[in-house]
Amino acid sequence: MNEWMSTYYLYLAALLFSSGVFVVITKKNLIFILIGVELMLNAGNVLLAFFSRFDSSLNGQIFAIFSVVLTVCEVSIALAILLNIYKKQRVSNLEELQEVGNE
Amino acid sequence: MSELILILIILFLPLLSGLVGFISKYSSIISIVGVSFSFLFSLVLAFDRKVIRFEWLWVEGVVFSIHIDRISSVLIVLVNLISLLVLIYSSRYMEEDNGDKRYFAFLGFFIFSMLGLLMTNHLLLLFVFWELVGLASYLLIGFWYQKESVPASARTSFMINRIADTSLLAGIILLFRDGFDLTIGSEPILWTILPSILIAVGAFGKSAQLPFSGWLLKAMAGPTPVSALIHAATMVAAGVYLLVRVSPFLPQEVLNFIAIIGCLTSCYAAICAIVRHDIKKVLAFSTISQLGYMVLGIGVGAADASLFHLITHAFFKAGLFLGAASVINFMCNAHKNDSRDMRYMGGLTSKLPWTCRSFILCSLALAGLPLFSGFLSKDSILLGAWLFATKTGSWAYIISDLAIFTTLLTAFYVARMVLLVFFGTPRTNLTNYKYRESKRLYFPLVILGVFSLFIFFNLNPLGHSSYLIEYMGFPIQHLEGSIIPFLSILMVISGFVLAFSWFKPGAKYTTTYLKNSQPKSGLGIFALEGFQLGELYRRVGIAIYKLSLAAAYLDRQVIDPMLHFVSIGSVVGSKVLALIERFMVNGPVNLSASILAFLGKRFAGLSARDGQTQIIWLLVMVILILGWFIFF
Amino acid sequence: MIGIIHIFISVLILLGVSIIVLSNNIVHAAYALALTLVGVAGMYVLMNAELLAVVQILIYAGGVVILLAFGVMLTNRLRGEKVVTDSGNKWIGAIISIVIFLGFAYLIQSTDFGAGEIRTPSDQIQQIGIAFLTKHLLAFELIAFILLVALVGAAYLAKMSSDE
Repeated sequence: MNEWMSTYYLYLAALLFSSGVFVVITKKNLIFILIGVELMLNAGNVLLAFFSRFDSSLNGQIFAIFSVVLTVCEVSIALAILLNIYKKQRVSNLEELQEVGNE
Repeated sequence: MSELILILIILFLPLLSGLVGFISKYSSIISIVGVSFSFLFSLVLAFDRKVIRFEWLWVEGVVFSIHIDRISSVLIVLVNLISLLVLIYSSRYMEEDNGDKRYFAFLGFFIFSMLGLLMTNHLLLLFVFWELVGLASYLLIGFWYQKESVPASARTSFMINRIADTSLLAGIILLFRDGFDLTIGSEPILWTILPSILIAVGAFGKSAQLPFSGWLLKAMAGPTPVSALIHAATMVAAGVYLLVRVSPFLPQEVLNFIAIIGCLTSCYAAICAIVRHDIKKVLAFSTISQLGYMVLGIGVGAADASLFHLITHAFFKAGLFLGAASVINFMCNAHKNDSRDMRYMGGLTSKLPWTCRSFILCSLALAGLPLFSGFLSKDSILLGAWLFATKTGSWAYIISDLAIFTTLLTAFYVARMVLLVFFGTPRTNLTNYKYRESKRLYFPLVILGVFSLFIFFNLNPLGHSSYLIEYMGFPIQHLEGSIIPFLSILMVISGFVLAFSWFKPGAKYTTTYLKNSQPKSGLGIFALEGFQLGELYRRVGIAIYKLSLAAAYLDRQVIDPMLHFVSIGSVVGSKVLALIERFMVNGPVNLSASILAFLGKRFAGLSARDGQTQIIWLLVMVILILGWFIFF
Repeated sequence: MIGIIHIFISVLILLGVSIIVLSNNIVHAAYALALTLVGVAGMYVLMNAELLAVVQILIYAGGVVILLAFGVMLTNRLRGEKVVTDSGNKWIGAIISIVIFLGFAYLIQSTDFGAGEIRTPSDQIQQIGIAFLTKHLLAFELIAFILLVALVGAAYLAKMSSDE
């Protein structure tokens, strides 16, 4: 059980990460891409938390908390920019945005 | 150091004064001043009694030097003195001529070259000055180039000289190749025969020995003072000087050869002088004859005698030429047609008194009468020849006897000349013609005439050497052979007697001399044409010309087509190679280029326009790299 | 017991992830994200990372998801339509993500982690708090500063977008 446990969380993190990659690559909407980024970051946090189990000074957790805070900053600013773009361009679709950007 | 400056001044002052004179109006005066300074300095040098030597390294292994020993210093004084006297004479003689600036410039150049020749002791440097002297001679002979036959004469004389110079150069090159030291005055080792003969032949050319004697005759086309300086006293003596310097190195066979040539030349020239009518040509043949004596002296091992004769000959021959110039000048005004022809002269003593006196003095010296310098020097040569004959053996007696016989001939033609020119009734009408000899013309003549006396050379009028020779470093020899002076005096007197009987004033021959255009006897005709030497030259020249034509024909017909074939073949070959290259070299190059272009176009599309594709590619790359690291 | 909770939370997470991956509807995806994050918080609890779990729920599930939802609302004209988006590069994406997963799997399999002792202290939260204020003081302060900056910046940006 312990053996299985130790790799289970790692597989979980791997799954989260790869699905985040899939979302980022595939989806066209900017907010969707943000969601994918969230997933990837969470995967990292899971890894950090898992490995902090074996550390008595809990450095991994602390790092994960920092990561969460930074993610929040990043998401808020990304959304603010997105709102800006939307107000200007009236589109939030990535393709159209690119075409608009290319003109 | 001061000696170097002195030497350089002596060397370059004539040249500079000539050049400065060329661009200014007073060319003659500047030249005279320059050369007189040079003369004074050379006197200083001569009295210095030291051997002066300045060396410098020219290329690796070749050291040129200025080397002045007593022989050189005495000869330098001689050259300067005679040049000075000729210049003074020319200042009056060339006064009316338009090109006199050119004349003095060329003369300055000549003096410079001659002095340079005397100052060096390396054969190569001597050859350089040798050529320069020849060039100066050519320039001066062709001075009146507007006249009809003058340029051709100048060219001929230069060319004949050049042929001999080739031989000299060949000799020098052979010596260099064989590793002999080319400086004169070094250890006397005998040279090999071939270079020695070549160098001797080169000297013959300059000194107008057989077979090169034709050029001196052609050289009479130039102004007479030029002949006095160059072709009597200095340049032709350069050959003798070279032989004197080189004679310790020559093997005995070459010396014998030199002696034979000298003897033959002097005899031949004396015979030719007997029948000539042009006074300058007579003097030219006389010069050749006397040079023959000098060369003979070297050949028999009496180099000191040759030098002595060189010095005395310079004085009296220059005097004779300048005197002849005065005569010609006078005749030019009196008889427009042919001022040089002795057939029109006669009875000039009253008209040209000073000229006559110095002319007679110089000609007596030339003939070799005792009490004159010519006797001293010629006698020493004859003595040397006789001693050589006694030493060597049978055939050498011919040389000595011929030399003595030539003395007779010399006296004969000298007396003939003097009698025909100055004595007797004038054959042209001179009564109405007044002429005053200018001081500048007769002052040099007087000096030269005076120097023809014996006093300056030896206190004994019948001796055979001179303190000058002793000064130059040759040992005094008390020679036995008292028969020789006696014989030579005998020869001279008989020559005079013979001439006098034919040419004395009032004799039948002289009065009809005007009508004598051609000598009647066969030998006379032969001698008139210079023993057909000119014809020989012409035939040889034509043969060489035909040979060169044949060679050109061969070149055109045979060698050129071969070259054409080769060149066309190479052009064709190059075109074939170009074709091959186009297919076989350019093809793969183009193929690889197109492959790369194709790949490039493919990969160019990789830079995506949208971010997601870029992320895809990024991740692909990351996977690949990580996979590499994980699995390998 | 733990095993069942494990399976339950794993199912939650899997469900959420699959909705995110497979759906084209942004609103659905946002809610599914919330679900996933809550499940991950549960995982944290199971991993003895209690503070992290609470932080996760507070901030992620309670903040970020709301933020995303608001973003969705504000960037689409909602007249009762579904907010649907496109998705392209599906096959390549699938391949890449599967390859990444497999890579991870390989790594995990081939590593020998050894027998690790679980050493979480009993007084985690105090430890973390003390650590924040002693060992990671600088980072802590900087984080606060960054938050402030982000707040101000986002507000400014949002303000810019609101007055034309």
